[in-house]
Amino acid sequence: MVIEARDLTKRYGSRTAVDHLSFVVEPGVVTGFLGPNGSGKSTTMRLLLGLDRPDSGWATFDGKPYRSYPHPLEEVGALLDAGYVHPTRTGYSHLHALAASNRIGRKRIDEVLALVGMSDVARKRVGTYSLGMKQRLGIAAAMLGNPRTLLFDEPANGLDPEGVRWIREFLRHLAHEGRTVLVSSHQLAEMAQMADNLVVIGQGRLIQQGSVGEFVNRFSRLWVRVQSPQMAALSQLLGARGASLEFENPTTARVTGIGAAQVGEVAAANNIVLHQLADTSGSLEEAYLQVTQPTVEYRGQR
Amino acid sequence: MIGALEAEWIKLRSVRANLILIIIALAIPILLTLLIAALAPFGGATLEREVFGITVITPALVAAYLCGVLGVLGIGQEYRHNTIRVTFAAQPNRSVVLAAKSIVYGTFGLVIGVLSLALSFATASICFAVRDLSFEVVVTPMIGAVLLCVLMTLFGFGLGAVMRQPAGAIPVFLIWPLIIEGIVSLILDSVDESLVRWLPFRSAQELVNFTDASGIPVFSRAVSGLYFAGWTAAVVMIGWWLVERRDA
Repeated sequence: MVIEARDLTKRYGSRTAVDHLSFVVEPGVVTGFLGPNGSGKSTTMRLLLGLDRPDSGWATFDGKPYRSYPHPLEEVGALLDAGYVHPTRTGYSHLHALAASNRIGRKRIDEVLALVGMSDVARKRVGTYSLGMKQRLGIAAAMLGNPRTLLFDEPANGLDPEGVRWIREFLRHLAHEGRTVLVSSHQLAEMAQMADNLVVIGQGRLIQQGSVGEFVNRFSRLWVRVQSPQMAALSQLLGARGASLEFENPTTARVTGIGAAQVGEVAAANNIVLHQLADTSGSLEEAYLQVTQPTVEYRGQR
Repeated sequence: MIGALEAEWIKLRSVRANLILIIIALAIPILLTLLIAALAPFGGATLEREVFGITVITPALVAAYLCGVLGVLGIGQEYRHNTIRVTFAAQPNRSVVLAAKSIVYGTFGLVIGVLSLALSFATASICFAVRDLSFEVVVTPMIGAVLLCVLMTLFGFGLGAVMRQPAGAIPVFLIWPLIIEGIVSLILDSVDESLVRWLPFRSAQELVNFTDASGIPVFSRAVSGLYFAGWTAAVVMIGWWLVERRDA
């Protein structure tokens, strides 16, 4: 199932939460939905599901709007927020009501509870659950209709390290089965290990759509890490060749504007000892910070 | 639609506040009936139909108001806990959800009305038998009381849909008839006492009227009931329109 958003715009009063946003999410891969806090990720998710009405644009699942599916849980499973549960209702009743609304049998409730490891606590009230347990309940709800498409908004929130690893492997497994998986997260290290493709937004606008590798290559800097006991002499020689140096300490520098091979040749020609010489590419985190820096809406006060 | 009905029924019975409210809605009228039937000094001048009305029908008004609170919670809780988003994600046709809620909660109002009256009737019968008091069963206001429970539930549901937050909608639902209409009726009464009958909840009271004497000019029971039903339909329709139109 292909998710397509075209020219989506949503305004709340004078604030534009989503601004002419277009992207496509393909099946068979995990697509990460990245953006700083307040960049419009959750609003976009709600627009995809027809919960909020866009001021312009549209979103479709296999060419049809979400609202046109009579039993949408069998097509699209969504975890919007683990807190969207009534605290005095049991986890089982929460799933039971959802299943009934889409004519899904009780057997499936037991299956999804076992899938997320919640069978033992399903009869307890949701108010007694930890955030991690609520996340698992939300994932169980998303899986109720065994859908071809899954939307997860920050699914790793509140999970312990083991839970985070579980959700990563779970999402990759779903994508491997050929499903369409769109997952938002601010945990970049997780996203780097989980996502194949990225949709990156800032202030509601699309910044980049493509593979994780493309994103890193396009937005992160490449440099050469050089370590030498004769760094002062080397830096003069490299500077004369147009390279710029950023010192990490007196013997180590990040060199840009010149390749590792050239640095090695200059050092050899001048009898300069090198302890380290390595091409270094940027991380997803670096690329993300660089690209979203101008668009961060809520910056912490120092 | 069957699925939506089943889902709403599961939701209604799986929330603690609803269960507590249903128990209270049934218990308070019985207690009131018990107190009145056991202790009230019904003199020889009290008509037998009034003995019955005061003992059995008046306590049902408490059940009717609590039915209204249940109606508010039926949709207000969904907004309060944001489960409305989960509900509409599972059933994007919002009219189906609202229709299912109206049917389930309206039916529940009916059941509470019938049960409350039946329990009060049984309690009063036992007390009167012990006290050797005679009374006259008046059926029409009993039917009116059941209808009032249904209409109040739906009115509360409509108000909940309009206001979304129970913390706001429940006080409005209780203050409107109990305080605002009281003040407005005093003002209207000083201008022209026949205007008082146009107040919706004052009009609704005629559904359960068990006395023959009428101090002020009012609509007949049927017209009063239809008039309040019209208000209820209007509030529900405004709520429905807003829910369809607003972001979830």
